[in-house]
Amino acid sequence: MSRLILLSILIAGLAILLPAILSFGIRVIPGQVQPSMGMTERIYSTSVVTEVFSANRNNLSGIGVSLKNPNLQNKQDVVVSLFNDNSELLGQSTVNGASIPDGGFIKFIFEPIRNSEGKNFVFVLSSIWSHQSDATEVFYVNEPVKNPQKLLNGKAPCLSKTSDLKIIMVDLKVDQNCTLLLVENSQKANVSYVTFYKASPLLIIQEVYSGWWNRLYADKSFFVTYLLIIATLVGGLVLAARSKSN
Amino acid sequence: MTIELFIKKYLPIIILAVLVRVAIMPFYFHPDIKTYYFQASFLQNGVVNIYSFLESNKSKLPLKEDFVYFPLSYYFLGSYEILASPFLGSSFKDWLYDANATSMENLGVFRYLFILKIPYLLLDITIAFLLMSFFSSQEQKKKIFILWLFNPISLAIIYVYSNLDIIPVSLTLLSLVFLQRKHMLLSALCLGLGAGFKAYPLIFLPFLLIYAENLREKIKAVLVSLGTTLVIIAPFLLSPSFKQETLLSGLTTRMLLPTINLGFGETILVAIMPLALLFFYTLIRNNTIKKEPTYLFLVILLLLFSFIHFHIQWILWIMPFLILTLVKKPQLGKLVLFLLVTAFLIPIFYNDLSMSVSTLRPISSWFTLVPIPYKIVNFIYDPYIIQSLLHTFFASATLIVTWVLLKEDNL
Repeated sequence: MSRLILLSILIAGLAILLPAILSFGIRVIPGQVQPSMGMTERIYSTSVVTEVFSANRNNLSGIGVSLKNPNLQNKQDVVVSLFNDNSELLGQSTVNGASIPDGGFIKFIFEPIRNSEGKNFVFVLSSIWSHQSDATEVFYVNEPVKNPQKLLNGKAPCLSKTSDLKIIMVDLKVDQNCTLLLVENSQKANVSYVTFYKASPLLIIQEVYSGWWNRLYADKSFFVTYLLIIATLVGGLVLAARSKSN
Repeated sequence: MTIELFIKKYLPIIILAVLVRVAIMPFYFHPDIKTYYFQASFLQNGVVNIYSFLESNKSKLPLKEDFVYFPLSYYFLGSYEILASPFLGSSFKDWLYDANATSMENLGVFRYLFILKIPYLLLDITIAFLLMSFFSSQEQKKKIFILWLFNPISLAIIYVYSNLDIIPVSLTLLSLVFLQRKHMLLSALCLGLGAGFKAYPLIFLPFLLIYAENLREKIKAVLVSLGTTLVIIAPFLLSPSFKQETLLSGLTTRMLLPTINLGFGETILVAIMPLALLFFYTLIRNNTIKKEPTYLFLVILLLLFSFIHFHIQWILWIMPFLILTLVKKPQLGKLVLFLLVTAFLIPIFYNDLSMSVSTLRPISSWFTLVPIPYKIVNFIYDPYIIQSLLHTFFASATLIVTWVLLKEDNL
């Protein structure tokens, strides 16, 4: 019986510890749940998508979007460029279309931005070598509005001179404050996106277990019933073991 | 067995087994449990024909899946849902209807998963008792009881991947119990009832006939078994959606998929051929397999799984027979364990989030970010080759087990 008890503790323990073990596989944590997706918008040489957002944690390190790429038809680089509210480029991440499955959720990961919490950012999704015919499409929460001026603190976000923007220049104007300024063809993007933040494994484990506990405790009637069931079973086990030894 | 002996010997084991299950039940999730309980929820609204109801209302429903199982599954789950509804709470329907990823953040999700899995718990314990009934020695009874209740694979399949397969599995096992006790018609009835949930128990029917004493009993067994299934499905046979989504669905016809082309439209059905070989061999020879229906049931499923792409929940079909063989023939222990582990590993390597890390979604949605085994293997090697290797090893071990059981020939 004692071996069975040990085995049971091992199995139940594994079920309870598995989240901690798997937490080591989480490199970045999402800032929100991805909103439900509606229509899509193409991203190609003269069509880019921008989105302004506020970071809800420190160490902002990625943006995730869902992309359409039927039959892997697009094989060009898709780039996410991240800017701060001074229109300075903070990071860029590239994923090649060949590795974007149709409808896949793609994470664009860059170097973490340490004190990002509460600050405003804008990301620009571009794919300058793509054509309209084979473009990847980004999922929106709802229908986008064409061609508004996308301003951040009164200024449009600018793209880095170093980024490969030869074709997109058609739609960009030079501004005195930054090299290239997005003016035309940028979308008022209600992109269905998720922000990602780098976190230490210990912090992730702590948040996983505290979230688990809080949600279990939040349904109080179930929580009490669940504990009572466990207590009754443990009590019954003790009594049954005693009667066996007698 | 006296009540006193039962309380002394088995009650602590049962309590311990339930305790382990209670620790797992609320926290692990596979989308199947939500989908089928969502569809079964329409019974409460008086929907009798779920197949045509889903077909005509699909555009309005948040979950678009078809109901691919046979009618008793719908009535069983729907009836239980009605019984359990006072305990599930008023927000349960909102959760069922919420097709968004955020539905796992619902505060009632642990309650729902716990309550929805209670029928599986009852059937799980029932299977342990059914397995005991195959033995007369107390030692073997206890051994199989423990092996069933404390093996991590059946725990994972029943409470993590929680599909309703446990219902036909219980009925198939009950059919075997009746067959061992020479109650041919009750055995056939159980197969027919099992097929009212999922079609697979009917695979055993031709083999069941081998044990019938005369032609009259054979005919009776066929009539009882097929008649039961027919009575269950008859009201839906005219429904095109039932025919399309259930009777001819990819799941039901999976065993017809692997073929060898003979040309001119003819093929050899690869999964059926070994079953036919087994049937004809058993028909003419008086071997161990024929004397021991447990082995026959085991070999039928092993041969079937060797030549089809199977779902992780299907492994439960084979589990009771593997465990029975483990106790009855300890010399096959290593092979049986190998088969069990391999059968479990093959689907884990499928490119499917819900096969592995995503089962922890009720605990935290972050686990959907953990790379699945398919992707991890993909960094090093082609995961399909790994799957194929495992499946080949599984098929090879199956052939050896079949050969060992067949060669113990008495003629």
